[in-house]
Amino acid sequence: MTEQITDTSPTPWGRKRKAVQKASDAQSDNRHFPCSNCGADLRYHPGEQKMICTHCGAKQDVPHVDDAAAQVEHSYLDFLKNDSQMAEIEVQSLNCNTCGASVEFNPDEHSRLCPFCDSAIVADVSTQRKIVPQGLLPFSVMEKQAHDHMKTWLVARWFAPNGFESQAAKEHFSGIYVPIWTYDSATTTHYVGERGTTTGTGKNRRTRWRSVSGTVQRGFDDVLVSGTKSVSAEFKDALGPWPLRDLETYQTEFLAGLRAENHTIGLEDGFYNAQSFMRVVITGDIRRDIGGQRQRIHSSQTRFDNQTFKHLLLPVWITHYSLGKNRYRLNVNGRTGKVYGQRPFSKLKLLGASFVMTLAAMGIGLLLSLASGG
Amino acid sequence: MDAPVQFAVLSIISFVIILVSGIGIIRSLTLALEAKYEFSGDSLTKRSRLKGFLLFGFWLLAASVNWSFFFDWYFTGSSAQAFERLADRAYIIILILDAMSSD
Repeated sequence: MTEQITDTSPTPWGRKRKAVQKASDAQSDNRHFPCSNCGADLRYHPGEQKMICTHCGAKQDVPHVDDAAAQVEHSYLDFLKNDSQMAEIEVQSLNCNTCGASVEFNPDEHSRLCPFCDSAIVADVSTQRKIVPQGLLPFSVMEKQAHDHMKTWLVARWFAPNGFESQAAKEHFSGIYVPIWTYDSATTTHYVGERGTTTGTGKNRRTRWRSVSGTVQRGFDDVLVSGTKSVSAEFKDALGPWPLRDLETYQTEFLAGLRAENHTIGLEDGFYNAQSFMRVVITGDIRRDIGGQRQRIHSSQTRFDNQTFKHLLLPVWITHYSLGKNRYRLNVNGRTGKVYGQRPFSKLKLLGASFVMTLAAMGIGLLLSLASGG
Repeated sequence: MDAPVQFAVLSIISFVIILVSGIGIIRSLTLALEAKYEFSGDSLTKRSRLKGFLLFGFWLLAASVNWSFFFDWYFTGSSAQAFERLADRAYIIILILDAMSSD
């Protein structure tokens, strides 16, 4: 069966639609794994990729589950029609009013600082329904390695204030699983536009426009969209690429001792964001298809077929550091060690660089003047 | 030189404006350079950040042309002649940019 959505309205997902599957097999999301030796809590250790007892140091393998479930593509339209087999659970979550993060509530935790924006969270515990992720990328970078990667990244920043890397090095990281959606879709776009052919030069330059229309097709695979408002597209883009081939089927053992954020961007809104990205790529395809030296696109209609999605968790180490009155956030990809974050600029260094460039412009100005006869 | 005080005041004001505007330009150039190496090729953020290169190019061009006007004024001793040369230069630049945009 071919599933089709004809994208003609400006807000195709404007209508609110409750597209959730009640969990017939709602599962417990217990994060406590007692050690078989001493009964203390086991925690997932990224370096060992095993669970390690916080008290006696005993090691335990994470039970092996077939990884195939993590790679299954779910039909988007089937999910909206409520006949999906994906499970939902109810979780207690702490909600940050500053950045909109919704972090799973841990009654043992004393810190009430939002791991994303570092602002104090008022204990606003609510119960939310969430779609259980089908897979995750387990952490493989340890906190110490994350520190090393961060240091290397900070030292390479141009025009940064002196000594800010030592300030950042004092801070601890929080290991957080961030929710994402990935979407696949085959697209067919009909367009009407004009091809411009330019002749002549200078004042005699003319562009002749000729009407064209056509069809471009493109398939999209695993377009990543953030499932949370607390992680901007910028951070998601910078921390990638994510090795999605290494996905593991979702097991709470991987989350022991770490935190997971609930999705605050739903499936439909996520697909809307994915479409925004797809449209930019499709516009490039249309321009190439039109050809010529210049192109005009008057209208385009895109049909999205065979839309599928996955709901996943990605590992991110997050820290915040202070410089003056400002706090800056740094993220480290928990799988590859890639770093991206907010960075400060030294106004004095920027002024110095601007001074040098102003002198350079002066030099070019002098050469231009001399070339014109002085 | 006609109106040496006017020349001195205008060149100092020009220097300060270029220097201060350069701070923001260098900042966006730095972010563009970082984005070039840190963001994946199909990232929308990267595309928007790369505008920093364009911004820097325009700033350098505008600053250079501005200084060429002041040097012309200094060498010829006449602001009117400097304006004439500035107009010629601006026309050539527009032609070059026009030719580049059609490629």
